[in-house]
Amino acid sequence: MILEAVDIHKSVFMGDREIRILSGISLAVSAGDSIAITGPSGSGKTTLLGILAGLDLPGSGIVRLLGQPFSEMDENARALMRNGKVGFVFQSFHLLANLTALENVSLALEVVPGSRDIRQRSQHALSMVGLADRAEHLPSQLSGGEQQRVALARAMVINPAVLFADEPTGNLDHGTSEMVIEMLFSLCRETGATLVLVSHDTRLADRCDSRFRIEAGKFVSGS
Amino acid sequence: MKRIIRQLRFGEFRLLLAALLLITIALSTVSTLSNRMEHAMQMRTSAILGADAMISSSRPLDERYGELARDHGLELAESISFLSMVSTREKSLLAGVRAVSGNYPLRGEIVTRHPDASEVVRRNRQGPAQGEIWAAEQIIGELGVKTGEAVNLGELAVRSTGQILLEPEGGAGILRLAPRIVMNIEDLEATGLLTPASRVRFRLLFAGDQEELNRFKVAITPRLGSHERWSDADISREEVRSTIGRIISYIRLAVLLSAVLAVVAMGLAAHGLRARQVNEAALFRCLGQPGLRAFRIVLEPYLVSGIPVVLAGALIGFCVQEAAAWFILEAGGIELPPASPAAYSVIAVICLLAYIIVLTPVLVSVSRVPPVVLLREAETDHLHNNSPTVCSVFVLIVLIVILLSGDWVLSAIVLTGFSLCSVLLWWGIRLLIAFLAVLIRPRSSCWYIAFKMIFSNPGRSAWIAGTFGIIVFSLILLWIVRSDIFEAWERSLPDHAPNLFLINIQDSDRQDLIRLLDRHAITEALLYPIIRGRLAEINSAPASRSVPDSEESRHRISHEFNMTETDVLPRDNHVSAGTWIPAHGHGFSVERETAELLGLGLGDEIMMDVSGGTFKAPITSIRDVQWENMQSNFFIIATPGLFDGAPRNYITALHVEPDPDALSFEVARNFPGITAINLEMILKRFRILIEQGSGAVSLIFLFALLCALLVLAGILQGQRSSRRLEIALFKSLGASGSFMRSAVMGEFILIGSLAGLLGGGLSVLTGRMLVRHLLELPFEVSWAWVLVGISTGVLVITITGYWCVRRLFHVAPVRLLSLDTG
Repeated sequence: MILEAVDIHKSVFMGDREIRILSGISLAVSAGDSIAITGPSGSGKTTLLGILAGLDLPGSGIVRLLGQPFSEMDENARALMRNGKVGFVFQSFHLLANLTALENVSLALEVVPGSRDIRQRSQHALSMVGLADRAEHLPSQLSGGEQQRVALARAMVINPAVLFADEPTGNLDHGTSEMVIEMLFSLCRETGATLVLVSHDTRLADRCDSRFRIEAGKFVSGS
Repeated sequence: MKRIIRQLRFGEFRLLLAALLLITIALSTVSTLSNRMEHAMQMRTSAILGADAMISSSRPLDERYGELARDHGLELAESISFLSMVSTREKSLLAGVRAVSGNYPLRGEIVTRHPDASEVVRRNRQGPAQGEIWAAEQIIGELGVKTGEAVNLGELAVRSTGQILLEPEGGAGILRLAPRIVMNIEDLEATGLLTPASRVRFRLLFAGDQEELNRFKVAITPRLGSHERWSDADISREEVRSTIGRIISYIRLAVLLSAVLAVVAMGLAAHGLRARQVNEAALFRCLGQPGLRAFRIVLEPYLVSGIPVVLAGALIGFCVQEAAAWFILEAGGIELPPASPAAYSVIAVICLLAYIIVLTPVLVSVSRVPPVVLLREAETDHLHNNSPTVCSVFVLIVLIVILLSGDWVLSAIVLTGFSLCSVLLWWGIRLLIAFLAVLIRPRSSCWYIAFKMIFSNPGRSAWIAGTFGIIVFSLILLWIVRSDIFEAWERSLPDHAPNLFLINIQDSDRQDLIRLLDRHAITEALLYPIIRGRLAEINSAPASRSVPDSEESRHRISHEFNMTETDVLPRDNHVSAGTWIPAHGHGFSVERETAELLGLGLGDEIMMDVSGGTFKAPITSIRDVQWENMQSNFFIIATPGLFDGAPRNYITALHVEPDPDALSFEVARNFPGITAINLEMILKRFRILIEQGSGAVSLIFLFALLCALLVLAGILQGQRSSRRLEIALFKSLGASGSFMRSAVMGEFILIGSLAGLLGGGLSVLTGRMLVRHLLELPFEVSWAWVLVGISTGVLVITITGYWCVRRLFHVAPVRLLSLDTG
């Protein structure tokens, strides 16, 4: 298993009041698979994605990513584990506003020690998402769909073992969403990356090998 | 380097670096310039003294004093002064002779010219050679001595090789009675003039490192006898000290404002960068960078770019202060000590520290940000809280005010005043907006939208108008003070300022002198009696026990005051307390600073000792004296008749065109006892000082203006997102680009008017207080400054505001409504 979660619990406190976000979530994902986590707003799906990706820690339970039980690691150790192996696509893109599309993509390689041919690989990643001619444009000069494609290129340029995507089409119109979905799956298929995504979009979820529905912090269905 | 270039694409980062550059320039300019000016004043005082310090006595000085001074590494010179007759075969004249060692003066110079009164001026840093003398123009004129001709001093014949124009102790000697001769001390014995009965003043002069001098002073003071007195360079000519002191005060004020504005601009920029950098750090963590590395990657560009900017600022500061120093002092003929490189290092470190302090909220946020914020953006809401930035900016402002003022009390007053003005302006503008919202119902749709934008965002409008109100307030105040300083100087130095002083006028010569002056068409000469006396008692107690315990006050009462009698208040004197002429009986009028120094107040009865006779009367008025006016000014003035029977002579100050030389020669020829002092050279220097000082001060004012623009740009940059949204909404409802441009410009015009109205009003109200207490100038301020404030506010806010949002007017609403990534 490339990703495994066992009996994950997570709560937050509002003053003295405990609010349970996740209760006893378990799942296992094989290398090269794609899974979708769906559910209504506030059901805990984004929190679960953060925990699976090692961006956040569970209250209790064990998470193994790439065979390493990182739920006991500190933030720095988890970061090093992600380095060069995990890609992210966010709903709000999170492109750096002062960098061009090419520089945003290069960034992912620049932080991986020993990276070579950064410019060529970044240009290649951009051409894979159809933005070779927009390489020198700043995010503010790109449409929402183009920004998300740059974010996708940034995630894929390192050939990640696992790609985490949080509502990747949440800020896009229908047509653009279709294009981004198509690119997302084809790139994962070509590189053999495992895809874990969170979405409301049923079209997106339907494309995945497995789907998990979460409500009030628990899986209510899975296939 | 790549990262720095990338960061420079952020307007906030450019603003941050520009503010850092300006604050470095401002601080390095002012600290170095004011230090150099203070040193220059010290040097000038030293030049007047001829040394950094001296011991004088009526008896020969103990040789061990000299040995002790050498042990402290000080340079030594000697002078002996006495009165003697100087003669040729035909004539003789009483002269004040000063015999000096070869290395005299240790500071300053003796300016001489050829005895035949040619235009060749020599600046001598050493006294005359053996066998030679330099003499005052009266001696040369009266005795008819030509170049190289001999005159007799006692048993010795010496050659006259120079005519004295300026000499050390000239300031103090302005009222010395006899015209001066300077000779070499090695010739003194041969003259045979000194006998045990001679009335002689012996002086030992010292120069060297200030700290060594202080240690020497501590060591020597207890050994000094009652007839020996220590003097150092702490008292300079009142006119120059007052003039340069005001320039320094003004520069400090202007730079304080520039520095505060630059810090605010830095704070605004840092606040804008905080949210961006936190996101960037979170992204780096997501991409697998451990906390410290992510922290370093994000902040390295800031720290790395801060250092060259500070160095560049220090370099520019050096050039600016060199230019300003040249304008203010060197063009005025005043020598400047070199700038110390250490001072620049200290300023550079201080500015880097300021930069780091202002970046601290960014550093803290970036170091703490968890990567999960990229998934849950609500977790970054706290980043919009500006309290950390406000705190860091406030801490920095406090530190800068203390650093520049060097005075805790003054700092507290300035900070409290500044905070009060800010609160007043903020609430004044909020109230004004609320009032206008009720009162105004504009019909034009464009103005309607402009008003709506203000009324629906009172906080945003008050923030920009309040801040710019403070800026308008400060800039107007700075300009008023600047104008007033120079107007005061202009007033004090009109074209007909006196350029010739005639002193030592005896009562018997008065009528003849007036007739001579009449022949030269000088009819308004005021002859003031000069009575010299010591302050003996205050309220029937010895003055030495009554004055406050300070070195300056002890020094003051150990000297004779130049006093006069008159019932006409001299020009540029203002009675600040009491009555100029008492209703009955006699009274004294005392100059305000002297009264404060000696702890004298209205009603105090003082007794003056004039040549053994005593004269007692109450103080009936306290006067402010404008020392720069170059007139005959007096510390103490008595009502006519109070000094009846006291020995006196007279003084007058005249304006003679084109040059007073001819008249002074004629006076010297007809009245051998009268000393004529030509002030033309000093006046020329003084005028240049004022003219060039004006240019330099304007240069400093420019800093404040630039910093103000930076602050405004920072605020507008911060408000860009909300304006973007507003313009998008109105455009989506059908407003055209040009309509929105008019509406937004209307909003800026209204905000500018509010800022200018309140800022201008506040500056007029507080200006009087500040100018009176800090710069000690009489102040008249016109309400027209409010109009100036409104016009400045409208112009600057409209132009800067429009510049910041100009690109938004023609962008499609759908683009404007998309996420703000620009």
